[in-house]
Amino acid sequence: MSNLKGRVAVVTGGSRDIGRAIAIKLAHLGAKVVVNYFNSEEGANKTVKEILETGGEAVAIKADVSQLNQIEDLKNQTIAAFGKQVDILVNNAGGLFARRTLEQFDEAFFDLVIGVNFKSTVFVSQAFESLMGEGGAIVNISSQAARDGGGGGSTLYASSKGAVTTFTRAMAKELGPKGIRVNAVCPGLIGTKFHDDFTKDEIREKVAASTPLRREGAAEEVADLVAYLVSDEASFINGNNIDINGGLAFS
Amino acid sequence: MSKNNNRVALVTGATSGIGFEVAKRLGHDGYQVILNGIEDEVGAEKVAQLQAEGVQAEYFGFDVTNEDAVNSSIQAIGDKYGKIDVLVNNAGGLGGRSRFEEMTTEFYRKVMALNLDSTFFASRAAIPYLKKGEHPTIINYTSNAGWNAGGPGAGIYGTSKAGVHAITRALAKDLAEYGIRVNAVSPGTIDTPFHAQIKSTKPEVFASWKNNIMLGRLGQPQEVASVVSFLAGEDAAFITAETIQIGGGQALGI
Repeated sequence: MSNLKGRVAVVTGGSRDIGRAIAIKLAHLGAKVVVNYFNSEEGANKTVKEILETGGEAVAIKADVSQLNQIEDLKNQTIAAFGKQVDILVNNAGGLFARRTLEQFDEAFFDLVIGVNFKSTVFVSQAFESLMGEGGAIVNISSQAARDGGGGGSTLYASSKGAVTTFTRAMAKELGPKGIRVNAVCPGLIGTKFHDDFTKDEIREKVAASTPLRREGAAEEVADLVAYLVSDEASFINGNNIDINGGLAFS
Repeated sequence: MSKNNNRVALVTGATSGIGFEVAKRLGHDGYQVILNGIEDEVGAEKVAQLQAEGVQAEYFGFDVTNEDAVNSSIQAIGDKYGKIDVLVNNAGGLGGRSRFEEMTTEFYRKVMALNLDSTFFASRAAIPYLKKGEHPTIINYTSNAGWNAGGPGAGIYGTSKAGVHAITRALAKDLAEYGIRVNAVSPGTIDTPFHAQIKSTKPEVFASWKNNIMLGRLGQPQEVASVVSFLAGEDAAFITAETIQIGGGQALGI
């Protein structure tokens, strides 16, 4: 795995689950990491502490990345912490919030889900693109749901991730000529608090049983893929949405 | 990376182009690499080159479209090393160009054999030895042509690569219970001897290709090798049945 020493990485939603694993992995490879969070200051501090204890550099910065003024704060605090160049952006923040069917949607729920998953990806990318140059890399966390429409009641989540997938391709075209690569990963069933909160155990067991590798993935395995994609090793991979699901999508 | 010590990787079609870069990369990652090819002299030369770089390399000459040769050679490799950890089905090729009206059955069978039979034969023969491997995996090669059905006269090449795409998923499902992961890479336009003819006869066409690539340049064989290296390793432990495009953003609609 390529060394990320001296690079500055911003990971949104870095207080738990996949975002936390990504922040730790990038820091272990030498990157200075901004661990963004909104709800869990405790989780973000824990992520930062783990990085510092292993000799890495990281700061926790609070911002609701669905709000433009707070994205601006995140950018300014990033510059204050690590300077005016950002090399790596991982748009990981997101959430399902609740399982709701079409007749249960209201405008506030729509705005919440689309805001946290898609609007955040768009405007955080916009804010940080100006700090990124040749050799920069953006990875967006999409989802298996973007491919298959998601499990019951996750229609808006799946749709927001579909938008992230398409945005990734469009950004790859726009930023490719500047030497900034943009890719996405589409995790399948990963053992995280996300699923502890929103997916019943019997459903998880059923999905794991029908996954060719017969298990859930681990957040660290997604982090390994993200770390690869942001490294120079992946220098000709651009505009991809890479599935990481143990073969689930085709079972 | 010393963690790959004692891991055995077989790369078909490894005496030139991308295949050689893959063998070289895996060798430097610490694998014992077996280079397959059909030109024995070139094979010996390439192995000597890698050995001079400190890589543990060996050459096995056999034609990947010859079922009996594949079976006996892979058996010999597997028996010698006791296992195969990584099989890279890199061998393949365009085989020429032909429009359908004039296409001979012989040509059709040749191209299908080169790309699809070869992948099937080598994978089937390697399964008993992959089952004895550590974190065993197969990596196949598809192509943009597998999606867009190929350029002029390359329809059967595209068809064969679409077959490789499907057999990748099918092998992944079939072999998952043994912990064998199966993925594919889909190189876009890579600067290799594959394009030597057009590079010399139509340099203006060759030069224009980069305009269709978002990164504004062709890929290098090393950039394919780095993806194969990633997929072969433990960092890709939850990735199976997947095809990774290495095109610099060339074929975004797929």
